[in-house]
Amino acid sequence: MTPLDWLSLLALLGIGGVLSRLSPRESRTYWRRFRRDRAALVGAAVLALVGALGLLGPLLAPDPRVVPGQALQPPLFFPVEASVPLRCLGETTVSGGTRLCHGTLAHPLGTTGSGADLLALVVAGARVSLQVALVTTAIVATLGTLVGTTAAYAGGAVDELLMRYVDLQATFPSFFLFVLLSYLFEPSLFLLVCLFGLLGWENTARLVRAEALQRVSEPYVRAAEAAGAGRGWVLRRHVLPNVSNSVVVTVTLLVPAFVLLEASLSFLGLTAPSVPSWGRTVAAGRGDLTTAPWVATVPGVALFCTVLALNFVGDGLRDALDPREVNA
Amino acid sequence: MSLSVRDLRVTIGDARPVDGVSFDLDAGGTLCVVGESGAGKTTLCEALVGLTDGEVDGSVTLDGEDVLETPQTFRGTRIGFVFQDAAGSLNPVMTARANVAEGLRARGVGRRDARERADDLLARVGAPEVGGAHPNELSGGEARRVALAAALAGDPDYLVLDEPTAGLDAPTGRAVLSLLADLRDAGLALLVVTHDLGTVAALGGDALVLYGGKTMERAPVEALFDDPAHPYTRALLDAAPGGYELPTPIPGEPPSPSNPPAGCRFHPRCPHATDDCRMGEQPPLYDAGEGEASCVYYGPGYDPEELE
Repeated sequence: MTPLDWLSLLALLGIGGVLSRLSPRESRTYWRRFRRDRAALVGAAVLALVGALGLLGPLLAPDPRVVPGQALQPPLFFPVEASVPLRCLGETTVSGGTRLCHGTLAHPLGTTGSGADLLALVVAGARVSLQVALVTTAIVATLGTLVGTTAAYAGGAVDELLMRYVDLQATFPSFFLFVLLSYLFEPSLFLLVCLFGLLGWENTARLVRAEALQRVSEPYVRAAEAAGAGRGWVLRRHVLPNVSNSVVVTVTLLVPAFVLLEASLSFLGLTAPSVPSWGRTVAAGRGDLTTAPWVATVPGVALFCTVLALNFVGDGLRDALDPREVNA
Repeated sequence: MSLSVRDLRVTIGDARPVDGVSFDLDAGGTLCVVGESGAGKTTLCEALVGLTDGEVDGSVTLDGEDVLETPQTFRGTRIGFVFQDAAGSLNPVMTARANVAEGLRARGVGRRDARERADDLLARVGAPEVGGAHPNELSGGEARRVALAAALAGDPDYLVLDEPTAGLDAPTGRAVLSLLADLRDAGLALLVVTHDLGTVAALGGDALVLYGGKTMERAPVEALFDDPAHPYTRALLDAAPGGYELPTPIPGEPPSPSNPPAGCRFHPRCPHATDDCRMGEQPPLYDAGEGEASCVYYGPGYDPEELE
């Protein structure tokens, strides 16, 4: 297990912990509203598939390895001219005077120019995207919520200090820091996720603070104070649960952006070559786009579907958690 | 055993909504603070346990201990608090039972004990069946009872209630008041802040008439109703709906807390105002029958008949 695996596990446990705090009544209500949204349901199914692939990937498919002899095998049902792959592993047929190479079951999605199995790459890439989504969500949600609620409840100098830091962070060029750090150290996924997670929570903090400012003036917060509860207790038990919807809403908008960011950085070759990211595979297929379009298309479609699914689920969650929908 | 307030002043910005209020509330007693909107009633009760944002001067002592020094040690356990917006004072994500148990849990009582105690309290305030409901499912009267149970959770000796019948229909309001009377008979002291003279009449005890942050009159409730010693109290009684006669509204507007009039705060609206009422400070309280009042016109050394 790498440090990132541990972080992902921690994030998964944290998200599970938060969900388990929902009362059965709440979860029923939210589920009833969520499932009315078809797109969100489909999105959730896609995410569940990506999640399962990411979690169980190493068991299902072997690590993507470079095997020069099997380069550019076409996917199943997508025969290409036999001259494209160096050596056709599947059957070859002749049609209209050209020899066609067919895909094999051994590589159902075909292989890349370096001979790596695309299915294995998609599965490994799912793990990368899953880890990016999980860990950045956990970091952004935790820090943003903590800072936002504390600033709103403490007010005064604490509020000023925290929010001015947030302003500062919003102007911070985290991309350049990443490029710099990637030259100094190995640009691992761990570095990427931590850097963009730790420097990416300012909007969450702002939105949570705006929501929390309304909540702290609610009578129940004063009532808890009048009942003798300390500030930490009031923050944890009364302010936090009542801003959790805003947290979910802002974070669901951020997660697909982080997944795309990781893919873009990999596409540009700024991440470690050992990370089997979808973005890196798309980049690898760039050169063979005319002869072997599947190399860039397969991971591209996987990325597209995942980001779309994240957006759909985010929309669905936003509607399901909208407090204004009272009688649903 | 008493809650004693001396010369309490609350300053919020350049306004002073409470400007030198003093009273004593004995254990098991009742004090009703009466006044119009903006008289400083809510600020007064919030200031008692340090809940106001403003600056608080003067002293609040409970059995000789300074409350304003460490208000948090008194909140809940010695002085309970029921807010005017009872439904709003319950956390919407928690059940009624969890809301009642909340004060106990915050003081480290175990989950199970707090739950049991919350159920006992809900039964005691006459709402035993609403424990599992969320605040948005409660009626106004039920929310009031749940808020009351939550305030009683720390077993306080004094209970501060801000408009305990606000927003309730008459029968529900009466039921809440009779519940409060029962609690008082069991030894709880009540400090009730209200604009509603019916609440004052139902609870009895002592009354303090607040106007523009100043005490106009302090007297036992019966004496106050039978023979009010301050023109403002009279005007307030005349302005209260009841009986078959239409109430007489008090002319004019209440004073601004940031720019109060000189002299008696009530003089711009007082039918008896003289030049002496318009100068200096609010006149000191003088003995008037069973209570005290702060009025130049009816005060010592003034003979109204000589003037008229």
